[in-house]
Amino acid sequence: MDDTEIIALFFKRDESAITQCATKYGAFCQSVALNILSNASDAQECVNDTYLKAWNSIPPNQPEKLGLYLGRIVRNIAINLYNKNHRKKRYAGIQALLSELEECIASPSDVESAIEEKELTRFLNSWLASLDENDRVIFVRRYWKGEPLKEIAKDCGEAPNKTAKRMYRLRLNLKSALEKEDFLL
Amino acid sequence: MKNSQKLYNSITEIDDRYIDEALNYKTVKKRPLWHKIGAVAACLVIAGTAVFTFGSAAKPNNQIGASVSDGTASYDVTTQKNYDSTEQDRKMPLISSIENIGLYDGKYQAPENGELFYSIPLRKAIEKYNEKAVYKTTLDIFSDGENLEINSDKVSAEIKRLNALGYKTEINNNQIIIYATYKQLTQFEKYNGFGYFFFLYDEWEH
Repeated sequence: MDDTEIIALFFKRDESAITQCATKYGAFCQSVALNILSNASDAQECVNDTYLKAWNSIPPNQPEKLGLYLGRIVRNIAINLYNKNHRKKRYAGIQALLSELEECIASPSDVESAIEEKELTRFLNSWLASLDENDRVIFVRRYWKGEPLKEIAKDCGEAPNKTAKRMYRLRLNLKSALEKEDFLL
Repeated sequence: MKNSQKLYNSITEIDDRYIDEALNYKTVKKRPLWHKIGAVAACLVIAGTAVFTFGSAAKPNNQIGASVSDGTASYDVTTQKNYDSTEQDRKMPLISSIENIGLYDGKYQAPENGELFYSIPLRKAIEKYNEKAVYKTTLDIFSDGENLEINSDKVSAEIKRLNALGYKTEINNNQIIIYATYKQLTQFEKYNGFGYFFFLYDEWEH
């Protein structure tokens, strides 16, 4: 079933919309949550919450791309769950990703607290636009979807060490771009 | 909230087209069957040779500079088919990876001009096998802390210089591959205008 038909089910308040979402995007949503949380049952809980949130938000929302819409919801829910539980130090997945991103941005005391995530998102969009397609793809797969380096390297048809080095250069590039835009003081 | 997490969160809302592009990106780069068969056959032959060549592991006898912290060591050698080498080199196994030395995610410091760094897996391999192996490595060349593009004039000139010094180099998959002996690695003849970072070719396979 295509996205338009699934969204039509949501608009009709037909609960089979949830089943169709699960069939088409369940594995994708599960992988996004699992890459962040490294815990299968918590990831599944996030996916279930995602369907509920989609049910409550469509309508009025009418996403053009249902997969991306669900992906964003599940990512946010997983991040919130991580934040709720991070003191328990249960999740290894996001820790590794955050540790890598720490290279790109200074500690809180060095950065104006007023910087909002929306500004960063706007900046990231223009930074991503400046990259060539391959670099953009590996960055988004790593830091949006949280995919393991080896998996990305395999799909790109290159050695993992090469992908790792490209990722390292991208983080340096991002750091430099953030500094140029005064995100670091 | 940590700034890295703020950055991570902000990635959630990046433009649809970039997410769509990444999730639907496909690169097909399959090697022909003969290549796989050849590689397997070569591995079998050389693995057999390695068993007869080494009765025991060599002890480290040289101090190698590395850039970051250490890992636990328990590793096996991966050998691959040989290359266009001297008769003496051909008698030695070609080391391109070691196993089970911990997790490294590539967070090395860039070498400054005149500095030479080895990745931790390469350092471990050198310490273990020293003169008794040839090492398949990749080399990143830096200038003023910036990693130089492989197709730049500076890198081309440096590769020529290394070739003239007897280093066996190859460009493949946008990487500088160097087949180096223990001496060539540990007594690397640096040009002070560059920084150098050597990795084991397959170190990310484990």
